[in-house]
Amino acid sequence: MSLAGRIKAANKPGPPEHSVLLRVAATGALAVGIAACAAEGELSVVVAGGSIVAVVLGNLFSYRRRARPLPGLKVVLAVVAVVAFWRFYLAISAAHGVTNLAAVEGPLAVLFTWIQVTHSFDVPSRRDLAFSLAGSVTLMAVAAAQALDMTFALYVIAWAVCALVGMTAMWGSISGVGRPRLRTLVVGALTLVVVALACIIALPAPSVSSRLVFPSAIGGDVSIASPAGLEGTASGATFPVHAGSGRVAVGGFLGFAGPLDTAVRGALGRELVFRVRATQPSFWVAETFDNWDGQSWTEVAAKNHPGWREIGGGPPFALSSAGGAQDIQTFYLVQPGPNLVFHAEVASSVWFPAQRLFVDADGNIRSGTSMGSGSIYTVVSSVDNATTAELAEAPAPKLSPIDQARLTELPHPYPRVAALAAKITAHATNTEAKVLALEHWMSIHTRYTTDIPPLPKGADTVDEFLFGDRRGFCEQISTSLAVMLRTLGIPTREATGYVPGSYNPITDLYSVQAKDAHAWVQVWFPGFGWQSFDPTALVATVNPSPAATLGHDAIRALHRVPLVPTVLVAAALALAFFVARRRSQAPATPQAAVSAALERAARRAGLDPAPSESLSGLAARIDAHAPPPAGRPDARAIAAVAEESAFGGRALAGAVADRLVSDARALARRMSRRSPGRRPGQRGSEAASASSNEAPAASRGR
Amino acid sequence: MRPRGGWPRPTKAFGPIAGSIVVLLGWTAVAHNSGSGWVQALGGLLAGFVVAGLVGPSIACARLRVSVESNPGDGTVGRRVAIGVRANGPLRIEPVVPPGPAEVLGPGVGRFAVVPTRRGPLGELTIVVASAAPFGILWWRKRVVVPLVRPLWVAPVAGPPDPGLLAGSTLGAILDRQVPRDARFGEPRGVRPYEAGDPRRLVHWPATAHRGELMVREAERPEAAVPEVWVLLPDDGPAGDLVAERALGTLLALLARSAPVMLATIERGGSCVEPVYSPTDAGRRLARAVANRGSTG
Amino acid sequence: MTEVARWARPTGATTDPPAGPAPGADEARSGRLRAAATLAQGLDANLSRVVKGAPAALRVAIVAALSGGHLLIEDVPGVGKTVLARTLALSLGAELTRVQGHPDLLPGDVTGVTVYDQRTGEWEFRQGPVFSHVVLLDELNRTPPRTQSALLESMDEQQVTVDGQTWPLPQPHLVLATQNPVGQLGTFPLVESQLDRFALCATIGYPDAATEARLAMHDGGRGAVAQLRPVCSVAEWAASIAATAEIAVAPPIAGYAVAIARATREAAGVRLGASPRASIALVRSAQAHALISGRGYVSPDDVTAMAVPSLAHRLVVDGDARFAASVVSGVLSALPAPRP
Repeated sequence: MSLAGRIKAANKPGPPEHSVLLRVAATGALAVGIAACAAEGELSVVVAGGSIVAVVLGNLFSYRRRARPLPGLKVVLAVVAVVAFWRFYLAISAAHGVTNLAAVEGPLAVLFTWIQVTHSFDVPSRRDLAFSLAGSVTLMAVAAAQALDMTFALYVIAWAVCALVGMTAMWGSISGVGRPRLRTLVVGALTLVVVALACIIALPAPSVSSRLVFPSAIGGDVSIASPAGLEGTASGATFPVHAGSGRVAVGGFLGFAGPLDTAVRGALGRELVFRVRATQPSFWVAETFDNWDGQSWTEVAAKNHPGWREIGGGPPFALSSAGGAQDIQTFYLVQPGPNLVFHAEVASSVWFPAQRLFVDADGNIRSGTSMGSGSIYTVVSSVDNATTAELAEAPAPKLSPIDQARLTELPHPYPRVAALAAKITAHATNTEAKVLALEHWMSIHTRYTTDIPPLPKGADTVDEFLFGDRRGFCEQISTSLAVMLRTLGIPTREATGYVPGSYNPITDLYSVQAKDAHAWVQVWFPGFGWQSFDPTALVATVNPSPAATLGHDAIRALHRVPLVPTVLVAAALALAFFVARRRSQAPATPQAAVSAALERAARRAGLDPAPSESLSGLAARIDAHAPPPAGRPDARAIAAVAEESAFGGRALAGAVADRLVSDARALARRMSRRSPGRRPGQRGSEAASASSNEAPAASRGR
Repeated sequence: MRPRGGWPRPTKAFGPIAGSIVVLLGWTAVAHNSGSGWVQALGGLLAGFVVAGLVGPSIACARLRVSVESNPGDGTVGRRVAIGVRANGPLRIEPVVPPGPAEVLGPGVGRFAVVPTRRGPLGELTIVVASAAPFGILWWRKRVVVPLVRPLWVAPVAGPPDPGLLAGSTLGAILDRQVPRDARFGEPRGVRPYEAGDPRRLVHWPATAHRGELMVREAERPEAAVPEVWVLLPDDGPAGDLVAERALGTLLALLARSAPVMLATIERGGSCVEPVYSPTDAGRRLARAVANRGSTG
Repeated sequence: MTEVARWARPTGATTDPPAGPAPGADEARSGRLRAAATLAQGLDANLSRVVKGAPAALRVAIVAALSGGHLLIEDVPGVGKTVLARTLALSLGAELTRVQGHPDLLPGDVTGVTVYDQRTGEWEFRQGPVFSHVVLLDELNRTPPRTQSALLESMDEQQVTVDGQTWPLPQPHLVLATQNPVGQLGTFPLVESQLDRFALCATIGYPDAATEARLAMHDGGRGAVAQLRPVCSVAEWAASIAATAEIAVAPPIAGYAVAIARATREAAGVRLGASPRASIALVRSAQAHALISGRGYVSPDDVTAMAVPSLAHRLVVDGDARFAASVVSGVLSALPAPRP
């Protein structure tokens, strides 16, 4: 066959598909795919709605004309498809290069939708419908790549139902069964769920490794005049500040301000602030503070600090060339936030859709525009989580005298604090040991609570905390550690931001809530740079696998189930099931019960009852095999009564019937007690070998 | 009578399995690197479809039960014979021995055709049953042997007529003794004294009166009126089939002129010399014919 | 006949005898059945005194007598076919007419002829040997088919039509026919319709050496026949036949019998299976078998016991006639027996 002939044969449409169910399911799957794309913002609602209507109409048209396709339709559709490809090409060319996949995904969804809409006008055969189903997978995939929350599950379930019905309807059409049975659908759905769960658990957590896929978006467009200015106080109302504190709360957290005032108290809610996709959890750093005045941390002492530096040139912004492992975080803001750019440890580059960015010498980043909800940006950070051993071997901190002074500066000498710190670290030989000793001491001697009274006027936070009731939250605890370290001459600064938040294995995102805001201490280690120490709590340092997370959740859920009542209910259900089953299988009449019992007896005796054998014949063989003990009725007599009452039209009185059945069952039980080896030797084998006609003789002989 | 069967095996599995592996591996790579858990979840569902589609048919196929419901008693080599079957699920039937076109049947009672290739009795069919439930992605099949409800006697196709098979050949002499002297098809040759058992209507009254003793007509097989075909198959294999084909051709040619034709064959129970009246008769007789093995005689 | 002895014993061995619904009617019925069973016992005693070493054939003969069905005794010459028939007729207290089959036997020789009586000047019907309670047709297959077909009417419809006039036969009417195995010289194979009219077929078979020696010493056999006395009158015999018909046949049992007959029609190697007449005969025979086994109802075992004698001879099979018996046995082993 020539190549052209082969291509022609391969493209020959199959026989027209008559199954309406398959068509409806395929159309439904496509509609769900398009709707999912619209829900994730890939398609506009108008385009999606129009496409769904077009797909439905197209399928209706294809169904009506399935037996006689319109000539020339394929050519028209091919032209439309080519136009769609051309538009796709134009769309991605117009975007800022192909480096930004987010710019590609929208046109991609449009392209897929176009192709499916076009195709839906020419689906006469089964193969075409299978292509429609496959097309719905691609649409779902495009939508899934953008899905951030669990509501996408609704689309996934709807699509899975459509696909399952479609696939089973396809087999029904192939095999001529027609409509799939409910049982098939249930079993198929169970298989899908089990395999899908197994895959999700077994597969490693998704990782962000490709630089092409960084999405970015900006929610607000309010330009910020001052390079170092802070903006974003709008949501302060969500996080009520104690009356009379007079403190500026930026982005809902008191720490995200120019100064971090430890004198005031706030309460934090559970509102979702942002989601983070990251290869590993870490502190999401917002700001670092160098200067401590006894009550507040401020960012820099202006006189000996370079200050804010503007970086232009658009994304990506290269910030530093710090070494260490690269870690990528993408932040999806759910609420309007401060114009701080979060990052892990030290940011090295930022994908941010703006023309300029401000950075200070400590690595704090601020955007030049406000951050509305829906802002998305990606930060590549260099994370250098040195091990304890490595830190222990690090040499003593050596900084420039200016920095050394700045980072160990205290507003006033803390004699009590210095004495305490020296006492705690008396046995520590290096910086790391000192930090750990202090952390350990804090964990023993301080208590965490957010319910503490405001700081009295003029008092020092650290003195008040360490020599007061030693109760406080992260600000007090971390500030105390920082000050103690500074009294020991170790360069230290305060950092604020968020803890990683809760990890969702399905969406692969860390959900950060307002209550996840935190303050901790960073210590300078030569060769490793700033290392975070959190005296308040320990933070997980590895990405939990989906299996671990799901397993943990499942076990926690199981723990909540009361054991004893559940077991009792399950046992009762099982018992009811077995009783009902036994009842439904129980013989209807006493005669049938006798039949069943004698048959059981024969089987237990290894006699292999044949269906062609009458009950009397079977009974004769049983008697020959195992003559009844004296005083017990033989099987032949029992069988004779049963047969006479059944075939002789003679009703059995209740008591007689019960007696008969119990006799037969006793016989069956006797058989089960007889193991083959305990058959009465010679006589038994004679009886077994005797034909049924001679059985009575053997029986009498006993 | 449960049909004998083997383990299910996949049919043309490379394409679907390789395709599924490629799709799933590609999906895993995309899902792992795109960073979206939902892409992974969708991939899990896709894997579910693949697993159910690839493995499901093996269970469906193992559970298939097929039995022959009805079959004709006669067939001819090379002609379709319709077989009625009952199955407990949808399936594809592909007859192997004897071969036939594959047929997709629903559950319950269905029909497919076999085309016998050999003359002789057929007590069972070897068929390949296949299922692709629940999705129709991959077919699994197993070979089963199902007994027919009654033996199917496969007649040979008609070969060229062979005058050598007509009576008078040397082969015929072997069977001559076993042919009963039956006057039903014959020409009177003469008279002979009555013997016990002779039909009364054969009594030749003029001769009786003449001789004073009961005389009966004696007949002999008519060479011209009732032709005889003697078939001795050399073996039960292809050579025997060839002879049977020629015999059928001869019989059809003779039957076209006059019926009946006396046909002598050897059957399993012994020699059989009986007239045949129609092509069906002839085919049936030749289907039963076996080679003379000695043990059967 | 140990089963007849068991008749006295109540079958409800494990329990008290089951209480019947109507004691009076039940009592009368069991009295009739007991009388019939006693008759069967007497027949068995007589027959076994004459025919030695063939209990199965004797049982079939008794079943024929009690069920009122015609009996075909098929065997090689000299094993006591005729003696069995004669003994049966004598024991039943009935007159026996004997027709010796031979090729020249004409229908009129059996059924009777119309002759012109010169004294009265009228045509008068002379009854043939068939007008009798027990007719012994010796070597039936030596009679020509024309005569055989004349017997068809008499056997099936219990009447004879000669020259347009129909004469009823005495009741009960039992035809005992003997035949040599087909294939012997000088025989006319019985046509299928004729075979179908025989309710039962018995085979005596050669006795074993010891029995044969006893026969040679005039123990049993022809000599013993002279010493026999009838066990009943014709009226008692007719009552027994009526009593036998009273034996209960449950619907599953009748269904079983019909299933057996139907299965022979579809069995491999069978050209012509058992007719509906055959399944009726099977149930009748099973009733008689139940009676001589001491039961008031037909059990599946009765049906299986009578299946071969009442069905096998009717089947037209490929090859040997003996194959028919194995066909019936195969059917029995393939069909599930009804269980209570």
